This record gives sequence, structure tokens and C-alpha cells, in this order.
Amino acid sequence: MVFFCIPLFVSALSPVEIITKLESNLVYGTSESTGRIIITDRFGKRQSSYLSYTRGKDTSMVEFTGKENAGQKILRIKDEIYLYYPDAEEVIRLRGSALKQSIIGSDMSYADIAGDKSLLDSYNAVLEGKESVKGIQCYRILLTAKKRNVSYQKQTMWIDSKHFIYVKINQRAKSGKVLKELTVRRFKTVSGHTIPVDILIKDMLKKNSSTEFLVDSFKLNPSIPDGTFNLQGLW
Amino acid sequence: MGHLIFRDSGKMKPVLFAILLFYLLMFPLWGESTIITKMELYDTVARMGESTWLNNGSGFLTVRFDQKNNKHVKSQLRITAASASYTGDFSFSIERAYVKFRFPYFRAVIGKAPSSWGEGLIFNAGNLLFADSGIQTNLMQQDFSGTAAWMTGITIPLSPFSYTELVSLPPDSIFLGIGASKAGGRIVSASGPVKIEAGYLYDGSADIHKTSISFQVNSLLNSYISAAAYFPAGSTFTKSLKSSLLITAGLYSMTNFGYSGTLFYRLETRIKPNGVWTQDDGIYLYSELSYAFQSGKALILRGFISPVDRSSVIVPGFSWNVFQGFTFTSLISLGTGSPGSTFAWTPESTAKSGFSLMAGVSVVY
Repeated sequence: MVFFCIPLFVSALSPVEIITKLESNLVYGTSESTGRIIITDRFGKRQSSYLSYTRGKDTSMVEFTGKENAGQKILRIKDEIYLYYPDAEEVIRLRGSALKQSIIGSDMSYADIAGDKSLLDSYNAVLEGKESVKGIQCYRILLTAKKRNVSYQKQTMWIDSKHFIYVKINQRAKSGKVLKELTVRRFKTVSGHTIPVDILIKDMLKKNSSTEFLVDSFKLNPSIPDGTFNLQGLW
Repeated sequence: MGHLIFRDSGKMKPVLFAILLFYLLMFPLWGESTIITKMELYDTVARMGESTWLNNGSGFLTVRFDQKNNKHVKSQLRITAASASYTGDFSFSIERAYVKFRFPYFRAVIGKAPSSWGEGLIFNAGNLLFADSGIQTNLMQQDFSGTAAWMTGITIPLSPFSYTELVSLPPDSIFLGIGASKAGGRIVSASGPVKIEAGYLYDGSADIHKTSISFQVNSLLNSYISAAAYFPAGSTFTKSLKSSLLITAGLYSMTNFGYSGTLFYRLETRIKPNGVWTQDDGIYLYSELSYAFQSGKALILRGFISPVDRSSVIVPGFSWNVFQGFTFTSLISLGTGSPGSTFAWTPESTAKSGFSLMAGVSVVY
């Protein structure tokens, strides 16, 4: 009996290890992706599209390719963020906290596309148990903010225990009330990395409001043109 | 400059022919480009001078061809047509027509391209290529567009946040010789929270050497300052520095405000320390506050202030991106100064307005 229990005990992961595995799954040498953001409200749907390049954990360039905001770019290198507006030919430099701003009025922030610091820098993690979500066995992790300057004081994450990718996230106020619910509807596996490619974000405080985040193409470790992650590459 | 203006409807035929020819010539490009059309239509009621009220319909159509599917070459052709019911004029202009291409060690641009040197949206002393519009800027427009000019330029990256740029601009008129060209360069570098830019431009048309230095600091506050001085050939350094010194500065902030709202604030100033502090010189302020909330809605408050004569123009408004590509905008412009001041409620010139109300829509497709 003891013989069988030892491997079970050894394989049990701490919440910190689960979050670390989740984040390492979402960090790539380089990546190139295209996608769409579809915002739905009571007046209908509005769609924008983007092209994104990333390198490592904290370097990214996102260019919006939809007609309404064509050419707008976000360059991020570590804590340096530059927003480029092509019509005004203006570059706005921001500090890291600006990553929390909403993208083009959606329920997503720049951090959702461009990545952000580790969750463990901002939250304490507690493993609440294991649950099945849509038939996928998940770890249920409660994240409680260490600081006040985060977007959500609490988050509950359901993380696929096999592929270490989030399946569902409830973002909560300090009282525990759910503000936003993020559900992954489709995944794609590329070279051992499981990537969410169809995400639905519902704002629970607004009726008929949601954002769909769709990844149309994803390349892992592509060759990225020189100058992509340079300031002069914005123009 | 670069505009064709027509009053007589009898001249419509050649214009329509030119448009048709242009579209036929451009047709082969469509397969490799993204075509973006933006139409802005406004209805404005304005109080001109003392007692004249004006109702004007105006429209702008911009067609933009962006090259796509090439990571190393980027080109854009942008044509704008404008019309206003008040004057009966309509105009066409080529706003942008450029190619940018990227080699491993440098990037180049050729054509009519936008370029923004220095720091600042409305007041920017560091923009040596184009004088900023300053208080002449129309605050009733939905967005502020950058200026473009014919140029040839090379940009050489030095590090992720540093580069040097060399440019040459042909004379403004074909009748001016090569000596009327402009040429210069700038070097941009950033380290930690500080970004520094130093620029130089020789303007052959006036035989003037223009210099500038700009700083942007992003620590507790996001702030910037630019200073420029112009030195006519053969002039005394100290005298020219004193008479031409222009300083612009600003600060801005973008923060979360309320539930899923974003608050943006900007304050800019333009100071000519040794100028004559009258209406035409001295000091001006520009302030902007916008609050974006609930998917596509924004409240806007902009304004110019002239501290010298204690006058201001205040522009409150609202914009709403209601449907895909469709935005409704309404703005009010209100001059608060006494007659004779920079931003008077009753301007002395009948060409100026002390009050106007604009409502309009823009459609992008």
C-alpha cells in the first residue's frame, strides 16, 4: 500500500508549480500569430484583427490590421511599452501598469495579448482541489492579490491537469463577486505547447456583452524580421 | 499645397475622368493591398463675428491603399477629397504616397511620408521638419493627423530604443533651385525612464540652421520637453538663440478609472521666453481629458488657454463607436475671451467663430 502511495504523493504539484507550468507552456522562443477580436454588445458585433510577434516572456509587438485601427502598434520590451498611432504619427510611451488598459474597448487588456509578469508576482496561489470542466480534469486554483494595484483582487483558475493550460477563469472583486468569466472553447497543440485559440470573455456586469478572442494562425519559433522589436520599427 | 480646388461645376468632367483613370491605374494594385475608405460627414452651426450664424455641411473622403504581405516593404497611398457647402469648393489632395523598405542594417523611406520629430501632440518645438499648427489646430476634428512631406530618409537602429535618422527634403516649389532643399538628421536614445532626442535641419530656402533637443521622462509622471533655436546664416549665435528660442513641454497620463474605463489626460504648453508676450507670442496651454468607457464610448474635453489675455477655447464632446466602422461624434467649441482676445466669444474677424456646435459621423470600410 505504501509502495503505491509514494508515487501519488511525489506527483502531486503545489499551486506554485502548477502556475509555473502554465506560464512556461505560454512562453515561446519566438511566435507569430494572427487573430481577431470580436466585441458583442446590444448594438451588434464589432471586429478587429491583429498580427502579433513575441520573443520570450516579455518582448512583443502587436499590430492591429483591421480597417478601423489599421497600423496601430504596441511594442513591449520588458516594462517599456510604446503605443504607436499612425494617423497622428505619434508614439506614446507608457509604464508597465498601462498593460491593464482595455484593447480597443474590448474586455481584454494589452497584458492578455502581450503577456505580463508572472501571476505569482502579484497573487498568492492556493490549490482548492480538482474538478472536471467540460470533461477536462482541472486543478482549481484560487489567486488572491498581494497588492491593490491589480485588475482583479481574486481569480479562480481551472487549469488542465494534463496540458497545463487554463480552461476557465473567473475574475472576481474583493467580495468574491464574479466580474468577468473567461472560457477557452478550443485549443491547439503546436510543438508540445497547448495554446488557447478560441476564448470567450463575458463581462458579468453587463448584459449582452462579450469579447471573443480568436487565434487564426500560430507559428512557433519563426524567423522574425530584424528591427521588429525596435523603436524605429514602429514607423 | 498639393490641393486641387474647384468651384465651377463645368470643370467636373475632367475631374471625374481623372478619378476614373486613377482607379483604372490603381486596379492592379488591389490584389496586393488593403483598401481602407474613411468618410467623415459633419453638420456645423457656428456663430461668426458678432451676429452672423452659419450652418455648414462638410465632408472628407479618404481612400488609403496599404501594401500587405511583405514584411520588408511597406507602402501607402492616401488620397483625400474634401467638400463644404458654405464655400461650394471641393478639393483633392495626395496626403501620403510613400514606400518604406527595410534592409538588415537600415531602413529607408522615399515619397510623401509623415514624420514626427520631437515630443508633443499640439505644441512641439522639436518638430523641425514641419512647424506645428499650434493654436491654429482645429480642435473640432475627431483625430489629429500628422503632417507629411516629400522626403528621402534613412534610419539606422543603434539599439532597441536608439536610432539615428538622416533626411533630405526637396524644395517646396519646382521653381526653387536645389539650394532651397532641406537636409538634416536626428539621434534618438533611451535609457531607463529618459528618452533623449537631438535634431538638426538646414533649411536652404531661408538659409537657416535649425536645432532642437527633446527629453521624455517616464517615471512618476509621463512628461516631455522640447527646445528649438534657429540660427540664420551669418547671424550672431547669442542674438539668434535669444530671439528664436522656443520651448514646448507636456505631461500625460493613462490610467484605469472606474469599472473598465480608461482616463487619458494631457497638458501641453508652448513658451517663447524672449518673445513679446502678446496674443501672437509668449505662452499658450493645451489641455485634453478623455474618458473611454463601455465599449466604444468616450467623453472628450479639450481646450486652448492663453494666460496672457486670459482667454480660452473649450471643446467638450462625445464620441461613440456604435457599430462596426461607424462612429458618431458631437463637439461644441466655445470661446470665452473678451473681444480682441485670442479666443474671443465675439471675434473681431468675421472669419472666426466664437461658438460652434458640430455633429457628425465617420464611417470606415
